[in-house]
Amino acid sequence: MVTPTNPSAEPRGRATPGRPAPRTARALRAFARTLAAALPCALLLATLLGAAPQPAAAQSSTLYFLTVKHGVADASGSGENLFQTLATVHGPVQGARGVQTGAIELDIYSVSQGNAGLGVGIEVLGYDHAWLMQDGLKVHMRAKGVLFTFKTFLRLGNVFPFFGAGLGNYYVNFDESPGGPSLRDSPDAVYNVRVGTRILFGRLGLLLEAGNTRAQLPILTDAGRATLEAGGNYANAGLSWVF
Amino acid sequence: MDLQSFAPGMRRCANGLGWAILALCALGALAAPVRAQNNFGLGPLSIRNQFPVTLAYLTYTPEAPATLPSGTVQLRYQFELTNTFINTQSPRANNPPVIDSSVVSGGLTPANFPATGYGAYIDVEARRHVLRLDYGLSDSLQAGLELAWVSFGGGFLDTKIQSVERFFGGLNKDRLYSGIDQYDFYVVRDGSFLRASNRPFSNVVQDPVLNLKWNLGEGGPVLPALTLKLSYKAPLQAHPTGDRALVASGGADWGYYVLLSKAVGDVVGHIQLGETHLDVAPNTFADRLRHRMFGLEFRLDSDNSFLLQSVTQSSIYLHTDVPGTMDFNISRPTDVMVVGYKHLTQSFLFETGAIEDYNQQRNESDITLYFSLGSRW
Repeated sequence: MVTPTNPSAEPRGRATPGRPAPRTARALRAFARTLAAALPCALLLATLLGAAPQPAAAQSSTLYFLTVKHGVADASGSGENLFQTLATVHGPVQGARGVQTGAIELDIYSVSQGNAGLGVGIEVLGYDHAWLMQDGLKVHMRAKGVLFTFKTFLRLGNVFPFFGAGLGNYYVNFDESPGGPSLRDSPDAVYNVRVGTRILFGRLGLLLEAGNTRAQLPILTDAGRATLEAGGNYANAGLSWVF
Repeated sequence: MDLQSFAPGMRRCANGLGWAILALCALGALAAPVRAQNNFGLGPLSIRNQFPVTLAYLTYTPEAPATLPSGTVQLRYQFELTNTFINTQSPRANNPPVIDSSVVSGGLTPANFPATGYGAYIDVEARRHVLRLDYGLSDSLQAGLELAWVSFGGGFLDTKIQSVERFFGGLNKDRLYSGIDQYDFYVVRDGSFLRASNRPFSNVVQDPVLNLKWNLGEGGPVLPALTLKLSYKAPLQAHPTGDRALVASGGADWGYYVLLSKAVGDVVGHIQLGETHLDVAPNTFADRLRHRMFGLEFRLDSDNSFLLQSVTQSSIYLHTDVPGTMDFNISRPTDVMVVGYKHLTQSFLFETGAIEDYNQQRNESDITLYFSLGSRW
């Protein structure tokens, strides 16, 4: 056991001569935020470029997008205090706080209403990540989720900027090792909002999106009761097949 | 570049642009030309939770948001077949005492389960026959009465389920410590039986359920169709005994549900939320179940749909802290996937489908198959 320390006192991302700059939690978190922040700028640029001729797939009244996505999520949010609670006993978390996510999504867009329309999507996502606390405790979380999202979008040539909101399910396997609690549970409520764009290139499409998922779960850790956030802020990029 | 100093500005930029895109999308959608739109679809697959412990109580049934036209009668018959296997005392569960086929054959007593908390050994194949009569009181108000008969037994699906689970690499290994096509239904809390039965029975009537459905709007190009539903289970007996106590609680349960649907091209998205209040004996089961359903209805044509929906229900078991294990936490919500086909004309209804659990921890049925036939006049 270590003396409780300030959880915010994480190592800084300074380079040491002769060694590459360490990928610290703060630097990676900042990078994830920057990625998420740059996304809307990319959306705007893509929107401005949307005057290109429409591909054949965009002519039909209903478009289906089958998308494979990859992204980052910070697995934190308002009310989440898992790592602060663990830090009181085990010291601050080492390394990056965020997780890398993978997902498959089926999106359906109705594009029969001129330059705007509605869409609906169902998405299966997951991640598997382990964090190391300062005293060597390993915190392992495996999460899977199903998200159902209604979307409203604009149709600007072959570019479809969208906003979406919806609900879903998450289920989480959480364990602390060695010797800590282990549990499997589901949040009572899961909500999700997102903003992004799709860009079509014939039957292929590019997806860029950022959003927030709220999927909080009260858990009992060896350091006391805490709230785990399985979702959090996220940014994704994906490739779609359009039909 | 210093990412940390760059990030806050970009985040503000992201927020602003995000809201701008949202506003543009909303304005665009609102400004879209109005056209006639059927937001109802044929409705989600209409089958309730079949977990044997919850069968005695009212629960949510996914339902089409559309109501019957005024003066129209619909009579519907539905057959449901459900296989459930749960053994909280499995040799694999790390939760002594252990129950395997040899223990079961000698008969189970409360001593076979932990002295505190819940324990369950449920090896049940349930058949349920449902008759449902609905009537359109007006074009937006519909009343209905539902009556069901339930049989519990060993059934015939155990080996087939094991074969399918093996094929997909997801065999429930707890089943290997149990007999094939046996019937045993035991639930214990704090050393006392809440359910105890190993004698199959057939066609025991459940408490009738009254439904009232009120369509508040058909929606439009942007707004979804919105319907409210109220359900009430009227007890036939206050204190049912014997087999009937396993399928009818004798309590007056009620629930309210919000049904939303929105057509998106050839697909209808369904979201339904609600809550059921159960009249349960103190310190036995949860007195409230929360439900949510979302699903996609793929319209093949105006009379036929293929459906895919996910239904989540909070656990019938009271929440208790189970420190330190992931092997027995039956108070968590369960998620099931329902797939099926629906055919509906002005005078005839046919529906068939299957339920498969995809997120449960010894508190949900394994598989349900069902079909439904109905007529309108």
